[in-house]
Amino acid sequence: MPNARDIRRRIKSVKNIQQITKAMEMVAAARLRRAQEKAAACLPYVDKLQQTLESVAAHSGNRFHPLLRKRAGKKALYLIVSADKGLAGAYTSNLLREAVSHMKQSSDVGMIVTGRKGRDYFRRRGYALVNSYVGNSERPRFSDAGRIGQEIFHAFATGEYDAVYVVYTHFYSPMNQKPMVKQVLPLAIEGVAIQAQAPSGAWHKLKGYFQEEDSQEKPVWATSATEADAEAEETDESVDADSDDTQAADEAPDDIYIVEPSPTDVLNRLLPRYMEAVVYEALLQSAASELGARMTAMGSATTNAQDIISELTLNYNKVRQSAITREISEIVGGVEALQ
Amino acid sequence: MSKTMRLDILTPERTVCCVEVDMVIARAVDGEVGILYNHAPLVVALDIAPLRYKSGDEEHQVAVCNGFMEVRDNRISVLAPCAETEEEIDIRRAAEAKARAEERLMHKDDIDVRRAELALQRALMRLKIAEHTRRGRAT
Repeated sequence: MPNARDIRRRIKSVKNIQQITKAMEMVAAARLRRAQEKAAACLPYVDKLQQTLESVAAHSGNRFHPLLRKRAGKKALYLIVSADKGLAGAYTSNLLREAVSHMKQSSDVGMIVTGRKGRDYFRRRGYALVNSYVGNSERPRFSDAGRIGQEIFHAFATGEYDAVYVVYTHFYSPMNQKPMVKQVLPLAIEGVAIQAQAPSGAWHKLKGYFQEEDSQEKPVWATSATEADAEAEETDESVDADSDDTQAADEAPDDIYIVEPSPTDVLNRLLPRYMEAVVYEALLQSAASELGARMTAMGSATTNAQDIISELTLNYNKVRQSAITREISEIVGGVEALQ
Repeated sequence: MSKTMRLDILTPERTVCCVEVDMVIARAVDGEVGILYNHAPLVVALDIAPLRYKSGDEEHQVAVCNGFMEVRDNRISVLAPCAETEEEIDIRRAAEAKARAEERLMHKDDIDVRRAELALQRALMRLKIAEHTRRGRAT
């Protein structure tokens, strides 16, 4: 059994550690609130930008724009958003596991890493990084996102890479974060294929906008438009006027869009902005997740320290008590020996 | 009876404003556009220029750096990397930025000319709006 002084020393050191973890928990909690607000503030922008991009892309037809087309090549660029510091539980290892398992799918991979932890991990394992950004994982700025976004966009636009993925940690709650892989480019747009297959009358009005781009594809548009006309006439006969009107009203805002200067030009301007916004959102989400993970990890470390302290205190008291008992019995024994 | 539209100006950092308006005038990359009630769905790329909107008798200006405007169902959304309302403009900062950009353009040795030009354009826009607001208050 260890003596009382050793136990006292251990209690003291555990208490010191507890103080530190508690302070870190509180710091993380305070920063988390700010990070959460920032992440929430950028959501409307990103959502709206994506929506706009989708409607513009739908109207220029995603097969026309070189940046939206699926490419045959298999060279993939990954942006891995990790933390600068540890002590955040399984945050970094979860993220890196997700990234590594997804990267196995492509034979040729390039990586841009943010955050010291991720950078060090891949460096130690001998991966060649395209670039890395460190020092701002807890408080990402929009200008950082702009630089990263531009670099990624450039790499994709020049054809150096055929697909772009972002690996980040999505923030659900301070206790719950999930690493995710998101394909950013080429953009997967839902609804484009459907619209292209079943054009309504609005395509006629829009045709002027497509004339430059769709000259080689003209037969497709021509035939499908006539088919749609035939269909429209059929529905006119079978359905009463009221429901037809509402149907037309539902479709109108989706189908007629004036895009100026031209869909291609707007897409060329929109895509870099979209890239920036996606990167910014990933950085903010990851920052919030990192702080949330750290807060939770430090919270449980503080509780653990408390458990250890109470166990040690119990032990210490036992040792102290038995020492006192022994002393008394020695004194009593001594007195009896004198008589 | 006036029919109003909803104007949202969004940046990555925050929602700059969210108001009911009668009319919006913006400068697109290829000319000015005015939006009134029941405008057809539209997406335009914006220039670095003040965006004006009228609600009732008031007219306001917002500094918008590039970005896009989408109009749909009488909802106007402006998406821009940065945007400020007239009250938020920091005149001193804008003036400093202008001086800095001008100096860079003066001796253009190894600097990014395009970037300096854009910075100058933004600074000029902010100063113009600030000037406009000040004159509006004086009268």
